[in-house]
Parts: sequence; C-alpha cells; structure tokens
Amino acid sequence: MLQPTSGVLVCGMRLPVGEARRVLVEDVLKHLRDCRGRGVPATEASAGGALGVGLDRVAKLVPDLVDAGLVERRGECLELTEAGDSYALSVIRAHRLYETYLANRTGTPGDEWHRRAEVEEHRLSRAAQDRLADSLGNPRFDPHGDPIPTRGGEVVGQAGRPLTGFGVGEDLVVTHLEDEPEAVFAEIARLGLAPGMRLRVVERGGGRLSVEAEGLRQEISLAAAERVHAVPSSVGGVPLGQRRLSAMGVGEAVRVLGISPACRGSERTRLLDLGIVPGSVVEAAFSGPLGDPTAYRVRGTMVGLRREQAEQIFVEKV
Amino acid sequence: MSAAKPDARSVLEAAHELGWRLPPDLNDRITEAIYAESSEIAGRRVRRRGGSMRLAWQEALDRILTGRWTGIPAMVLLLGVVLWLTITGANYPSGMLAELLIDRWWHGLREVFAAMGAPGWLRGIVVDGMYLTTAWVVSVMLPPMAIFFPLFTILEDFGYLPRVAFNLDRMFKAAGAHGKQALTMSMGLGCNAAGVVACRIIDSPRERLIAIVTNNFALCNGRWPTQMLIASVFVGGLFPPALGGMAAAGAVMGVAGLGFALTWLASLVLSRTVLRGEASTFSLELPPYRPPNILRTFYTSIIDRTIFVLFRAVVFAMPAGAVIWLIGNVHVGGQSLAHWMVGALDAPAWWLGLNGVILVAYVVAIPANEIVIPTVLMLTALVTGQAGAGAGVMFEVEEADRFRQLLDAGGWTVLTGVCLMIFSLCHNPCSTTIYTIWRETRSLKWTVLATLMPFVPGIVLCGGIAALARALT
Amino acid sequence: MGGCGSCAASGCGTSGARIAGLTRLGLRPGAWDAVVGLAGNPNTGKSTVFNRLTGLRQHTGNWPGKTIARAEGGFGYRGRRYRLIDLPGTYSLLSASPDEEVARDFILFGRPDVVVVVVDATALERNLNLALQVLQITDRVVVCLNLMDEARALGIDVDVDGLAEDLGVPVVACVAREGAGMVALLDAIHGVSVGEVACRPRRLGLSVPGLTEALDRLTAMVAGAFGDLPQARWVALRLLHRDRRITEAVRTGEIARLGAGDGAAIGAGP
Repeated sequence: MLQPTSGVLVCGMRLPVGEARRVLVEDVLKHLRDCRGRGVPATEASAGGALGVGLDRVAKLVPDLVDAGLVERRGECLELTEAGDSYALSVIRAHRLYETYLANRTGTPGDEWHRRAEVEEHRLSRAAQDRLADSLGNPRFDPHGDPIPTRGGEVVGQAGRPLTGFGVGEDLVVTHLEDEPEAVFAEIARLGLAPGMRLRVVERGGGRLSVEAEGLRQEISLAAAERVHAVPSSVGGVPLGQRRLSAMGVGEAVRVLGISPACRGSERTRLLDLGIVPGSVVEAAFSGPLGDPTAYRVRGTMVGLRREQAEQIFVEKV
Repeated sequence: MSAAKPDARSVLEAAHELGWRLPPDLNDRITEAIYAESSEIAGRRVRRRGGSMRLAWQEALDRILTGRWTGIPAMVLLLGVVLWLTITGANYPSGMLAELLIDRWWHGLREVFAAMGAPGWLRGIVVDGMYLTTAWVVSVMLPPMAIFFPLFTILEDFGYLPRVAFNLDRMFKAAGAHGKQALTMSMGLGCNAAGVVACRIIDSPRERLIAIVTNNFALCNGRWPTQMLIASVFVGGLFPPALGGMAAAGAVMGVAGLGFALTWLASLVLSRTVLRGEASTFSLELPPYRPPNILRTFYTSIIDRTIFVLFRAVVFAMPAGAVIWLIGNVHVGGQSLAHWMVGALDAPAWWLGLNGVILVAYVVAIPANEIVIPTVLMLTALVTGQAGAGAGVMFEVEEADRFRQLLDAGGWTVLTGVCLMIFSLCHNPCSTTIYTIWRETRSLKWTVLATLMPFVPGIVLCGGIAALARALT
Repeated sequence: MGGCGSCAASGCGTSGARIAGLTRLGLRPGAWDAVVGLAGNPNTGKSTVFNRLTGLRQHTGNWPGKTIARAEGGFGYRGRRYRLIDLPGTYSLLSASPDEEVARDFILFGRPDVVVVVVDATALERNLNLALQVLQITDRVVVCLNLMDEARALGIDVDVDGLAEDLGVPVVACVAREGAGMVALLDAIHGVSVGEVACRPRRLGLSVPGLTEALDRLTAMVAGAFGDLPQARWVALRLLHRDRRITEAVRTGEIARLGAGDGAAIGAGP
C-alpha cells in the first residue's frame, strides 16, 4: 500500500537466474538500447565501461544473452533482438514509472529519483508496473520529460535539442532533462527546471548561459545546458517575467495565471481542486504565527499554502 | 473504421491514438473549464450582501488564533484551560463514584458472596479482582473523560483543529513532516488508534509513515487520567491547595508539550534516516468557524466517545482484574507471583526512577493504557500489605487523598510521580493501536519500530531525571 | 424544489427529531428498494446528513478529512427502503487518488438510484466543481445545498430555484445540523428514485483547445459502439486519460450496461 509491490521480472527466457546477474543482464540490455538510440556501436567494452563492471564479467554474460535470443552479434558489435529490445523497454518502463512515482507521490528530492529508480527498476514485475501506472493515472512522461513506454511497448519520440543550440532571446519550452551524470543533474534540479517550463536564453558567454526561467533569472553551466532540451515555444501560456503568489503582501488580491510545471502529481491536482486555476482571484488573508504558511482566500474558501507552493503559482495584478 | 459501427476495440485504439496528441497540461485546462462553468453559475445565482457580522467576527478570531504574537500563546492557553477544567472538575465526581462503587457496592458484593456461601477463590476473582478493577477504571476514568472529550469536541466543531495544523506547520516542515500531522496528532490526543487511522489524510507515503510512527507521543485518553491523577497527587501536592489544580494542569501541559517536542524530534530523526526526504506540500482548507452547539456536543461526545472508550476500558479491565488477583494470590515458594515479579523488576525500575509495581502494571496493562493506574493501585496495595481484609483485595481509606496515602506506603516520592508521568508518555502504544498500525501499514517493520521507538526517549528521560535527582539530594 | 426557507418555522427540531414518514434503519437496512450515494467536498456536512437520515452517529467535526471509514446505513421513507452510502469526501473526480476512485467507481458502476451531492452553500463556486463532475457521470442527482444558516450569517443569498434550473436537477436547501430541509431532501430523493422527478443534468462542453476535436470524435465512437450512454462524453474523456478502470469496462462491454436506463443498483457498492 505504501510502496509499489516489488517482484522479480519474469521474462520467460532461459536465462541463468541469480539476483546480481539478472541486474547485470538488464543493465547490459539497457546499455545496448541506449547505444542504438544514440547511433553508436555497442561492444562488451562499451558496456563494461558504461556500467562500471569488469570487461570479463560482461564477456562471460554475452554468450548467454545470445543463447537466450536477446542479443545478436554483428562482428565486433552487439545488437538487441526484438525480444531483447522489449525486455530492455520493460526495464526502462519500470525505471520511468518509478521516477514518476517518486516525483508525484513522495517528498523524495529530485536528485535522488534516478538513483532510487536504478535499484527499483530491477524489482518491479510487469504486473507491478501496470498497477503502478494505473495508480499514477497512466502518465505519458516521466519527471525528466522522457516518454514512458506503454504496456504494449510503444514509445513516442523525443522532441527538442540542447539549450546550447538556441539563440539569445528565443522563447522556449523545456522538453527533457537528462538525469545523468548525477552531479550535472543535481545542478539542473537545484535550478528547479522541469519539463514544460518556459524559458528564454538572455545572455551567453564565460562558459555559462543566463536564462530566464518562469520569470526568474538564473545562471546555468554549459555542461548542464547541454543536458537540458527544449523546443521553440509556440502555444501561449504563462508569459515570462510574471509575479508569483509568494511575493504578494497580505491583503493583496491577484489573478492566477498558472501553476509552474515543476509542481507535479498530487500536489498539482490538489491545488487545482482547491480552485487555484487560471483566472481565479486569490487574496492573501494572513500568515501563520511562524511566518509560514499563509492563508489565501480563493473561490469563497480559505486555503493554507506553504511558501514553496505559493512560489509555484504565477499571478498578475487584478 | 469508416462507415462500420465502431466496436470496443476500435474505440480503444482511437483513444490510444488520440491520447498521445493531447496537450500536456490537459488536466489543468479541464479543471479550469469546469471552474469557469461553476463560476458562471455561482456568479448568477449567488448574491453577497456586504458587511456581515459573522465575517468580521471570523476575521477577528483568526487575527487572534493565528496571529503572529497571539497564535501560539492562545493555543497553549486553550489547552491549559481545557486541562484545568478537567482536573478540577473531575475531582468531586471521582470521589463520589469511588465512594459509591468501592466503599458501598464492593462491600455489598462481598457480603452477597459471603451470604451465598461462595468459595473464597471465586469471591476473590470476581469481586476483589474483576469488579474492583472495573470499579476503579470507572471512577478514575469516567469523570475526566466526560469533561475532556466534550471540551475537545467543541474545539473540533468550532473549526479550531485546522488552525492548530496551520500554526504548527512550519515546525513540522522543518522536521521533514507534513503539516496535517498536527491534525493527526490532535486526533491522537483523543485516541492513538483513531489518530493512526486519521493519518490517511496525508497523501505522501513517507510523511504518512512518520505521522503514524510518532502518533503515540500524543497523549491519548487512556493516559490523560494517569497524568492528571499523578500530577494532582504529586505536583499539586507541593503547592497550597488553592494553587494545586493550576500546578497540576501546568505539569500535565508540560508532559503534553514534551510529547509534542518528542513528536517533532522523532519526525526529524526519521526523515533524516530511514524515511529520508523533504517535506512535500501543505494545502489545507481552513474552514470558517462555526458556532458549536454546546448542548448537543456534550450529548453526542458523551455518547460517542466517552461511553465507547469507557466500554473498551471495562472490557479490558475485567480480565486484567482477574489476572491481578491471581498473581496476587497464587503463591510459589512462599511468595505470591506478584511479589516475585515486582521483586525482579524493582532493580531495573530503580534506574528509571520508577518501581517494580509500575513496570508490572505496564506489562499487565498492555491491552489498554486505561487500566495502568488501577493496576498500580491494586498491586501497591498487595505489596504493601495494606490490603484490608485479605491479600489481593483493595484497601479502604476514607479520606479524599486515598491515593497519596497508599502510594506513600508503597515508597513513592515526587521523583516516582514525575518519572511515571514521563514513562506514561513514552512507552509502547496499547494493543489496539499496535494492531491499527499494522493494519494501516501492512508492515511488520514499521509496526515493530512504532511499538519500540517510544521506549528510547522514555528510558533516556526517566533514567536521566532519576540520576539527576539522586545526584542533587 | 424550493428551499426550506426558515428552518425554525419548518418544525425541524433538534437532534434526532422525528420526521414524518422517516424510519431510521441504522446499520440494518435489510433488503432495500433503492441505493443512495452521498457525495460531496470534504467538510460540507455529509456525515451530518448521513446521521440525520440513518440515525447513526458518524464522527463529525469542522475539519476536512475527518470521515475516515466508509459508512453505510439505511432508512425507510414513504414505504420504500433505502440503502445510504457515505462516499469519501472529495474535491473532484478527475485525479487518480484512491478516495476519488472509490467515489467515482461507485457513482458509475455501483449504479446508485440517486446520488445526493452535498454542497456547502458558503462556498458554492468550489463545491459546484464537484457537483458538475457528478452530473457528467449520472443523471439521477439531488443537490443538497447544506449550511444555509452559515451562508445566511455570512450574508450570502443563494437563488435555490435558479440553481436547480441551471443544474437541471433538484436542489434542496438544508441545515443538516438543525435537521432543516430534511423532509424536502427525502421527497427529492424519493421523487428521483421512483422517476417522478425528471433530471436533465447540465452537461459540460469542455471546450479546451486541443481537446474538443479529439473528444468529439471519441464521444461519437463511444456512442456508436455502446448506444446512447448518458455519460458518453465523460467516458471518452476518461479514455483519453487512459483511465484503467474505464478502459477495462469498455473492453469487457460493461460500459454498455450504464445506458440501460433504470439503475437497479448492483449490490456490492464501492
């Protein structure tokens, strides 16, 4: 009830069992899929290097994978078979679903999602994945903007290119954040970037980009900007440079423009349910004795919100 | 699917296909659209007359009850008044009930059994064990509950509990916990099992577990009477009679405050260790204050809460009474079982500032906290030989401070009283709560943790206070 | 479907007062003629209405979320026996929280004869959000406009008849705490359940850019596949949301039964 039920992925393949070995098998398959996606050849050496395990361990494993019909050898290179691809996809699905679960349903900080999902992806059976997906409302994208493969094994393509490839002044929407390597993602998480966020590059130079994200100006290193993907913004939405509910003084009345994409899952639904939707007029009524939370009048009711939440609500003067 | 009648499969395929192309913020837009419609209807059908007295009154109340300088003092004051009313108000009916149930009916029952020629062991188990323990539970528990619960319910109906959560949220956030934990904690003040169930209002599993595991630090109704009784006898007794009630209420407040501090500390430790994570969010509706209907509140809270809790206490007290009588009267090696047990536990209890009787009572009283005090009293009577007519039978003292006399004879001091108050806050939850925790978490690990964790501060605090008190004297 | 006007005058006394024709069946409704679901936002007095009708004593208090356990009870009125189910208080039926799923599944698949939506008259805008959603799922709705005394004290006047006209279902003004309006509520429940009162619930257009077209297309397909479902548009919306329960019901054909007119309620409940 409190955690998704874990279980062992049953693949139906004649694979040697053993927890550690299965984890390695799944990681190798994921690596092969990753290489294919990036259009680079995969070998035992690349897998060993990417997974940080000895070449000999991978080399010993590969013949079994070939026997099981998951991998094909083409000269030096390793390629996934259809069965291998679908296995890899199911692990990826488990990973992205679990990240979504952590982001939407728990208070786990963003820089921990990936690490935890790396462990849990090997434990979620297909049935458990489906249950998790249902309980999350069958989300289409994970918190990094990666598409979650469906039960049927479909994945949609990924739009967008790195932030570094856009010119100054263009209005953009973030589509994807790469969650590896960890140190770089930690910077992205610290900046509070999230898929769906609108931003604009305002200055570049000195090995950094200056961006305006949801109205806040922030500095971002090139390494991190390389891993933030975006597309030019076409749809209207929350304009840049607007104010946030947290900046309102007591007694001030404002109109809601929208909620930041960084506010996800049940947190977002709850705000919407309480009437914090675009167009609602909100008035800061009073703050608690410790300064936070603040009570707001909205749609004829009084709702207490913490500062962090109020920061995610964009408003304009009535 | 051209002209043919669509079937289920083609519907699902189309849904799937169309689903990918929807805007990502679909939910926002749908909610917005529905709200636009609600707003339009409400705008047409609702008229607001300006300047309502009620509105002004509610705003004024919120300025005090959630005010920067007044919010927290008002909270402390309200709790203090409730406790003071309960302690001073419960004294008199408690004495009357004791006189009726014990001094009169118990004697009467003994005579009836004697007249019927019932064997001594039967009279012992039924009258001196089961009846007497139950009588104690009723006379000790009923009056404070019948005052405390309605007062608490009035605050609840009035709409004060969400304000408590609102006021304390910042602290819970600092501990990595959910603001609504203040609500579940408040419910725990009534009954921990109910408090644990109430944790369902917390969506985040991590914060929910924190709230469940720490709920036991909210003093429950089974423990309020223990606190009040011991505080009246030992703390109130240190002051002139006029101030005794206030001092006792202050001491109980201190323990309740300690409970809050421990809740906070335990939440902090949990969210830094086994339940790592940041506090998620807090979106709590603050309902308008509604004037409570005082008479009906008294009626329903007495029926619903008081009678229910009392019934539970009685159900547990009767078998416990039989057990107490038996361990007091079954002799092994020339000593009663009770003597053996008390003797064995005296040494560890000494380090905690308690005594063997108290620890035995806590073992016997695992099913329900309510019967701790009656058990302590009966065991003390047994061990000190103040047992009136026969071993294993309750004492008779006519004076009002019958407890004090008996406990003095049992070697109790102010230190024992203080340590008992703290131990009563910091020990395992009752069996019902343990079962509820298991039912809510379905996890042995969390149930065991929640059961044993309270002992850590309990042992540290009691041991520390005992050592300090002994070093100073 | 007028309001109770002044409750003092309508003779609804204090706690447990007798209501002509009402038998409170408490926990033992026995065999029932109709099933009534009680929905509403948290803290709108749902439990109070429940207690009024069944004579039971669900915990009440002034904070959202206090009703933890699901409650069920029964009452008899004008010769019919009703089973009353208190659904979890929810703000919406759109998200996937467990509470909302229970409420939603009951209203849709439990096929209650009547759904009473308890609405807080002091915060109509917020409460209508849920009421409008319920109206998309089922035809047989009675809106219980509760806390009228509070609204009056706050200087809020609600045009009850106008509201009923807008929503297309009976609206009854109540003060459940005082018992005011209960007779009118019972009459409305009775009327809807025996079919004397016709409901024409307001359906939402949901004109959301990027959605309308897909929704129109899918709604037509759902209607084509399963006949004239009253909630076809809503089913289509849930399918677009990949709602598992609804998808399953479409796959198995269970969804077609929702259009079968008189909802002889399926026993199980939520």
